Amino acid sequence: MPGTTVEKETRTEEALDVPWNVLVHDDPVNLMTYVTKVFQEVFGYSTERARKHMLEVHQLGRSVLWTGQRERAEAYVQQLHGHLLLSTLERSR
Amino acid sequence: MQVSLHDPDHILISGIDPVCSDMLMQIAVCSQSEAGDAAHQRLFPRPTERPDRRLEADWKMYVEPDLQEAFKSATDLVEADLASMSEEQEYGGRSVCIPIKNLWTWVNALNQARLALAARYSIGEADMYELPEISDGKGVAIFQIGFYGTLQECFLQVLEEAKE
Repeated sequence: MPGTTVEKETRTEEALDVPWNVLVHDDPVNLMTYVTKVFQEVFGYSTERARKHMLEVHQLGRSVLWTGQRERAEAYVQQLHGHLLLSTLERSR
Repeated sequence: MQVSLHDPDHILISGIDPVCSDMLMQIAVCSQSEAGDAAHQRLFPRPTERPDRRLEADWKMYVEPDLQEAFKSATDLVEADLASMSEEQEYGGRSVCIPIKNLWTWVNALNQARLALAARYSIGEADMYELPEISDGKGVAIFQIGFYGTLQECFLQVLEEAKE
């Protein structure tokens, strides 16, 4: 149509559907008991599950704490930053 | 120094010597950071590993101010609790009573101080297992990180017991 600019859609349906991971990275200063407690507070995980993730962070350098919609993943990362954990979000593969 | 249950709603830190008293008073100061410095970068990390300019800009604009406010309110609460620290008649130390409902916020403020100090003095895991030389700034910072960590452990234990 003459005189009309068609905006190009940059985000595809597929991209919108891709789940996002919430990661926590190792930090030698944060106490293990504290990290476990934060995982329980933020995600409502049991002590065992929170501890498993904490050990994964400590031994492997990172752990995926949660996977799902981007908006919620961002909210979790914000909460984790509020508790001073090194957290990032990334597209799940 | 001793941490004990004062009543069902409060803990009492007693026998605080002048060095520990100074370190408690420095929690808020240690937590302060300025944009661009190492402590600031640690307290306000990036939300992604891969560079994402749009998300990082949004994060700086919308998330960082909220975090700054939350961190400040935690250190303000700690300072307010510490304002009631008083001299002990019997042993010459000092003591302070802290509401148990404030302990989780204390743990946050102590963590701010520990992380900021570690970033400021480039303190890594290996440094924390060494006996610090108190003669320089880094040594004092390692000692402070250890002291704050011990308090955190103690407060977390009280919170765990209070839950049960």
